[in-house]
Amino acid sequence: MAPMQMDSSIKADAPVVLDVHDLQVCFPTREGIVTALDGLSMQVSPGEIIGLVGESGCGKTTAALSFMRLVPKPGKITAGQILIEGQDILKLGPSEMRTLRGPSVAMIFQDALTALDPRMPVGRQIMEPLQIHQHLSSRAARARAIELLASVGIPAPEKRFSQFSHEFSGGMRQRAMIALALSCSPRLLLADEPTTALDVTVQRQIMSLIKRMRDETDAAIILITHDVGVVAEMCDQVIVMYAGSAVETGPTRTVFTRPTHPYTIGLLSSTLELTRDRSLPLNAIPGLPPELIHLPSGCVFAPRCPRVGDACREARPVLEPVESGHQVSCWRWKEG
Amino acid sequence: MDNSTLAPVDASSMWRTEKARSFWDDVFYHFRHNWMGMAGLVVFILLCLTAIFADKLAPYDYLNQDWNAILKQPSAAHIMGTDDIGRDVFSRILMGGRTALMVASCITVAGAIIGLLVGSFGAFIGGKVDAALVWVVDGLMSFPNIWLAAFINVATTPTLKAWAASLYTVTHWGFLKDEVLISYGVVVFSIGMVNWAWPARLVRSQVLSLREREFVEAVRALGGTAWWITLRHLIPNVLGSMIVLVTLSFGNAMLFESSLSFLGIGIRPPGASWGAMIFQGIARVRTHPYLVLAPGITLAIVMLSLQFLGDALNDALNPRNRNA
Repeated sequence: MAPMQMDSSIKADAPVVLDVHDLQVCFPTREGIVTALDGLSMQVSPGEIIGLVGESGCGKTTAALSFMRLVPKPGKITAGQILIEGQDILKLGPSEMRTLRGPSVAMIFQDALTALDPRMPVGRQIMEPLQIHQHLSSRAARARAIELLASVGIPAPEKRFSQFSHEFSGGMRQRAMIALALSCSPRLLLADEPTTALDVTVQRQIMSLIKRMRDETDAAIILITHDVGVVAEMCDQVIVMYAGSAVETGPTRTVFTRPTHPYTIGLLSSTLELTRDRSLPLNAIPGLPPELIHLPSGCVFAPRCPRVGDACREARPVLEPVESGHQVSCWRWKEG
Repeated sequence: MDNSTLAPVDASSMWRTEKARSFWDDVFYHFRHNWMGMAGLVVFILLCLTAIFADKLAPYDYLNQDWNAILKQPSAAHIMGTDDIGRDVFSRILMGGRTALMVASCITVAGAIIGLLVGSFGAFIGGKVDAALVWVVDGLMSFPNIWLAAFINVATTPTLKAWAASLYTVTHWGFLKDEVLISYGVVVFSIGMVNWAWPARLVRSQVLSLREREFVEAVRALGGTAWWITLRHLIPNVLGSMIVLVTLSFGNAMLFESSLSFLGIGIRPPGASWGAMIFQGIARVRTHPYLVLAPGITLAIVMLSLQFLGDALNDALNPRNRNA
């Protein structure tokens, strides 16, 4: 595995960009209420990259969308608190919330091809947030957009400015997407699987671009991914999610070298390494994540857990500290 | 393999940078190669030109009653003959084209704009607003159109006339007393009130599918309001199918105007309208068939050409509709 970058410059008293307490998001459906997020708490400081890892459908994207109050209908934030730079965004009106989207919190979408308007030149799209929030004239916005395109490493930005998204390569498109998200210098950047649609060499470039942008702007970044390798390389902190709640959180190195939750252990042991013996089958966690509508009453991981005991099926564990900054929600982590 | 015998490769031709064909280049390419569509376009352009220059092209004044030439069969002097009060039919056909074009343009443009705004806004806002708008559109579409337009026409004519009269007392604009011009306004209003339902429904369904696309979410995530997204992202994306619909509904509007005039509630005489001309000629269709045939065939040709044009545009704009 590539050397992990551990940036432990996070001070305990640093101002927090995002402060989430006990967030709960529910989707009413015909069969009943689906709890997509259940009691998620997290803090992100400026310049910090936090990784949200977990399988598909475990609530990573829902979490990111709820930080912008854009949970798709009919989903609703039913409980909890979200503070962005100390401001409780759940108490804001729609127009106040709009002024935060862009300058305070912005998002990099997974697939830039669908996240860019196919009928509008890419540069014009980057001009839009500048015109909405900073009320720049179209000339000034154009100049700034070209500057932004150049800053994310797009060659010939003036020519690229007037091209359409289908004329960009995948990597260039994602760079443009990053320029778009960074256009109003957000304090919190949500990156929702920004490299999933790209090939591996381009993935690396995009990841180092995101890191460089972090260094330049000191923005807080939440990186959503299911790629454990990316987390190891990029993130200072990691939150392992399962079925809508965090099962283990802590500094990346600690969590990855001393995983305590059986799910984290399973996730880490199911990654491929070049040196592994190919005659052995790939480690996989048996079973499937539970349907969020029929969550087990005890620990959500109990049905798939190799260490499951009677206590696990009765009550849901809460996050408890393992060591400094490292928390796990498991009844039996000490026995591991 | 021995390459020494091959001529040196001209790098400039090999690396020739060709401009990538855009969506619209592709559309124009396919449209140009559809001869029916091109024919429709030519006829439509001819119609526009004759309508614009109708008063210059017409051999006679379309209102002039020549008592020495009543009900004359087509001849060199009157190539489409004359009607029962001695007016030159050809001149009236030309002016009727101007009427039809003017009325149809007003109706189509107004319908397209109202439809675009109502359809996209309703679909985007959703909820009760959308439900109410759908209810109105469905209501409009469930009536026979001509019946509804005739009803609106008859019901609103006195009111509109009264408004024009009271406006005249303030402004003294001469055109407010022009009965024919007011009848134009009434026709545009009554057909326009009915006709926006089609574009509204089309736009709504298009926007409903577009707004699920991620780029709309992305604009919203950067602080775009519903109006911003509608005007700058949704409408440009809907424009392709709108062009087709507008072409087809243009023909419909012309037919509509003729129908109302045929029923005697459209363009008031002495204003020239193809529908009114057919109606006036129908009593003498046995002895003077040209009175009906001239406007009838003209109307049919124009309608057909617009249909061809609309079909060709539809094929060009929707790659999936193209037959190999």
